[in-house]
Amino acid sequence: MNTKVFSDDEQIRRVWDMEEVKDLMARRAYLYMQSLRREEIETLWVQKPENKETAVFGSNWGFYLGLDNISAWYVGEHGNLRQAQLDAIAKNDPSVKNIPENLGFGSMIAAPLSTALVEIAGDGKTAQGLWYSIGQRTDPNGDGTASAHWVCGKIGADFMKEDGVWKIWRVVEAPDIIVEPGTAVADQPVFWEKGANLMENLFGTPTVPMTAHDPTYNWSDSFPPAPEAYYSYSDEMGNCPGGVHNEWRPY
Amino acid sequence: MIKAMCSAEELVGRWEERREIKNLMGRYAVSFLLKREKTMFGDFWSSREDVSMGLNDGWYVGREAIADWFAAIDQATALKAKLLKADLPDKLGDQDDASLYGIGDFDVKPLGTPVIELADDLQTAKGIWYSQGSKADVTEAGPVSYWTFGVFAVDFVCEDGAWKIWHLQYLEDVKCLCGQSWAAEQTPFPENPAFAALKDVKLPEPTVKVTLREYYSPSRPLAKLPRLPEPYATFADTFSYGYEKEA
Repeated sequence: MNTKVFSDDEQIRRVWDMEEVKDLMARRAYLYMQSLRREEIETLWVQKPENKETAVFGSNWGFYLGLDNISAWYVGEHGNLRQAQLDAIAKNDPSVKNIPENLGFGSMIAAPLSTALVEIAGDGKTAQGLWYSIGQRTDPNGDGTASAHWVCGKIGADFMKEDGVWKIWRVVEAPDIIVEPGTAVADQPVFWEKGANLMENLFGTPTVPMTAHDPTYNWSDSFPPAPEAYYSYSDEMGNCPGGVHNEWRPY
Repeated sequence: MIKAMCSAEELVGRWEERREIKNLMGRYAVSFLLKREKTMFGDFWSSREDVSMGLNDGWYVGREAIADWFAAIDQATALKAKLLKADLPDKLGDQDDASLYGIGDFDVKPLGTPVIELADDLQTAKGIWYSQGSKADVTEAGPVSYWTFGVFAVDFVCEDGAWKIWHLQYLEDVKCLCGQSWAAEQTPFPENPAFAALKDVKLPEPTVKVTLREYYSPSRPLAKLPRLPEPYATFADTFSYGYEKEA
């Protein structure tokens, strides 16, 4: 619990901190939509070596630890996917040139943010946020067609100040609903067979495989966490493998 | 402007300006929902002559062009109500045109993911929002519903102490019939003779016809968004979301 009493000056600076944290995550959303993933990692995420080491990217199926591992998957593997898709498109349709400028051809993704819930630590060094995203992911099949999915879920994030500037430190994207447009959510499988879940397949092989968020029974857990007022950050409250799952902050 | 350089009072002031801008865009979006196109141009837009609005198929440049665009929507809204009244006489026949204005149309453009920058001089501001919306419309096929995904990119100008829209782009990636996939060819609904008059309803052509945004298709290259707002001192130091005549 954050019981510190703040001066008027401190309070308005904390209000402004909240604006900056929300702005940071919104900028991330727009870079994500444009597949500018390297730019996102280099400009919006922590850059100090000690913070890069403890950076985390998680999803329902586990966590990547450290910015190098995050980057290898988030930038590297995603780039490989886009190249493979372009290879197939260009092979099928020679009018599409297989050049770097055409990476992402036929794709469209968005994870817009709403329902922001942000807490700034009492010590002002970290912040934690939670958003809901009703988004979509559309990928080319390589034969002139594409596959579209609604992707809806919580996005949790922890932030850290580096030299007075807020940076993304840890992110968990936790999809609840993955469904093709025009099909009923109620008709989706309750239990996904291995290899059948689009977002699980895209998540690759995390550093720490584990069930981080389980939407099987619709919101049966509270991870990523809904931030509460706090004074200083600890892993137990965080968007990381050490964050307490399921039994923590039960709804 | 770096926060550390601002006094607490200045930060409060700037926070309030950001709130005003968010509220302005919130009211703008709600006005589409409430079918207030008749007054939207006067309510929200700047009185400057160099206003402009960019949609997927081009630029509406100047006050008259934008006002005409809103007026055309207003006229179409009135026609849709008349056609619905004629099609549903037992339900709507006893109501007058004024009370039926706006029925059948439900244009939801919720705004999220804001990135806003205020000029240091507080005379202008820039913002971008993502809108994952829907539109229930009345067309020549009768009532239909669409998913709409798009982005608003807006320049604001402060006039007599109030923020107004100066330049606005609304660029849509998706306008897809609900129940169908935006990744596939759309199967339109068959024409409904009761609404055939809507076939001739067209919005005015843009002043400058140019493709600002292609709708998504599997054959579309990855589409970039308008540039994100960046901190700036005065409008002369930044870029514009408005129409700029090519040299």
